[in-house]
Amino acid sequence: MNDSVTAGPRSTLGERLKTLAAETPPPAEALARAQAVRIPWGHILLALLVTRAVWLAIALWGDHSYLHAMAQFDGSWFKGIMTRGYDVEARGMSDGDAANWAFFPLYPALLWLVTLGGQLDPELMGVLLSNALLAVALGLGCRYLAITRPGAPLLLFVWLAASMPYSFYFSALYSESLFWLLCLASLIDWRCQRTGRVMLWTLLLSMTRATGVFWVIAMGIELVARLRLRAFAELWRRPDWLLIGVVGPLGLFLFMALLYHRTGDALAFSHVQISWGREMGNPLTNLIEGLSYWQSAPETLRPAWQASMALVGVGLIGWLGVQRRWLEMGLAGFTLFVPLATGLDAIPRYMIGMPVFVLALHDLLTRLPRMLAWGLVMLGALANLWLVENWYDTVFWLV
Amino acid sequence: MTPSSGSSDALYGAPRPRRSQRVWWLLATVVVLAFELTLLWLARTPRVDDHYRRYFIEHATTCYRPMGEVPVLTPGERYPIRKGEPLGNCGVLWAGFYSPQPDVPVSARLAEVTLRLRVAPEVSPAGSQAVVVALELSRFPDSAAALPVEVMIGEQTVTRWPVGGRYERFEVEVPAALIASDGSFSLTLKGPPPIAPRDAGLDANKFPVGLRLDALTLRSPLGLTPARAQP
Repeated sequence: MNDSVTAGPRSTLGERLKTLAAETPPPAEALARAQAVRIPWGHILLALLVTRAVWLAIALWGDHSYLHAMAQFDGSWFKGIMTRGYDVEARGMSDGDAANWAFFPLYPALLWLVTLGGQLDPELMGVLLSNALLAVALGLGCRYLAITRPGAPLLLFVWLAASMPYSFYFSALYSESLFWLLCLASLIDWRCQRTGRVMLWTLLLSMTRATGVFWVIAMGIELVARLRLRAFAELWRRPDWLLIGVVGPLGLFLFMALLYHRTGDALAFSHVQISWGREMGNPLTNLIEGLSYWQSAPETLRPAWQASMALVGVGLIGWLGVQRRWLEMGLAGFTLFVPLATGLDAIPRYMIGMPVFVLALHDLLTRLPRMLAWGLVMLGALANLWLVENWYDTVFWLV
Repeated sequence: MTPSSGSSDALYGAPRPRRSQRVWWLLATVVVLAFELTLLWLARTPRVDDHYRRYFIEHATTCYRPMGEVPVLTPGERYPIRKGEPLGNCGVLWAGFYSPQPDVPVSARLAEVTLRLRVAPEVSPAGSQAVVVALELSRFPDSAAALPVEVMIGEQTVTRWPVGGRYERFEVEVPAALIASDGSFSLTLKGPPPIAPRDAGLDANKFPVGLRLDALTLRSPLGLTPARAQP
């Protein structure tokens, strides 16, 4: 479908916005573009090697253990799941109320596989696993760009994703890079209407992180935005879409079954969030309260910064909406607002863990002069080095 | 999806499945959906103990299980009741109080809440002398009319307070007979049923709030509060 409309000389704001609408190819065209694109594997490997080498150098210079640093915080929970499985009862952290139920099983299962059942060093293998998953994810990202944004500079995307602020999470024993891979795979196959594959990817997505469940909701948003009320009738004629709708969250339900068997509480993954001080509230209240710290207590940087990042996320969601990228907008919206309802902690990580935010940022960069865009990517890479240094110092606001 | 003889969709272009294929898709959908609905039903009926239910599901208490030492209280010292403070630990607050953040007052999420306290040996040597406990209390919502709160030491009711305003100070004398030989005693408040801010029309918070306990001070019945005591 091509939503583009040429703006006339006396165009209204609505018409000007329509000129920003993105072109979405029909599945046959999407498939042809996906097959035609030449993925810059050399640049992907180069970007990963260069950036990770710099991070390693910083670790050595600061007398830190690179591998240990990459396996800290959530990484230690994943390692625990890999070696001991899921807890039967809560006993972790200072209040004795934490358990590993909040961490979804696919990444630790992969970690178990690549360490040959725990025989190899989990920190080394975990770092290699996360980077390998990211390399594949970047390849898929280039393919998705070729489908949905033909002519977009792939190298800019590769270097942006490999080096931007907070990108060190992709090297850590965190599930971010796996999530990227699965999310981009499901987006590509949805555009190509290979619905059987979409079922598989979305099932694995919801087995990776709770936010994976939102994929099928975002799919529903796109269908309603495109087909209006016909979308519901179409579900009867396209039962494969209906099956995506129930298979997509199946990974979560399988995890719930496991938790019910272990703890007696199928919702333990959600209930245990209280151990991290997370309670469901109003996302807008949390956002406004966080932003108010700039005025009331600017020295309390953490909530103010995280709320500001959330505000950037809101802007990127709006940008995706203006481009009528409904599926991407839905994914970004749910990924930001649901965690925001429980608090401001880790908001930047939630954002970088969802590739559509980076695609939206990339869309903006491609509208700038080439040198300026690359300059901003460089600036982001430098800012990331400061975050990396803080990560090595185990500052808690980077958890 | 396997291409078939169905007509193409205008926007998504993919051929629709044949009627026979559609039956299998729908059957698979029903099976998966039945599994998911079963899990949802199981999620509504968790098989967990009372500690788990009150802490993780109902958010009715501050701590999962009682942990840590009950600190010895110094007369005249004003102890804020906050998470992270000596009287905010899980050894003291686990029964019914709730305070998710260090800077938020402790609230009663149950109608009946209990503090576990301990006095210094010189205040009540071997439980031989009474002590006075002063509590700074509010009741949610702030505009609520005063309602009686029953004060119990151990199992014995010792007084009733009309609590309705904000940061009101109440005192109760703990008889020496109710103080254990190690100086410990428990103070229970039985108040009106807590109400959720959502039900009070204030905000979306669905977890009930009753009494709010801001601080606690201890003194001897003679009123000989040391000079360093804070109001």
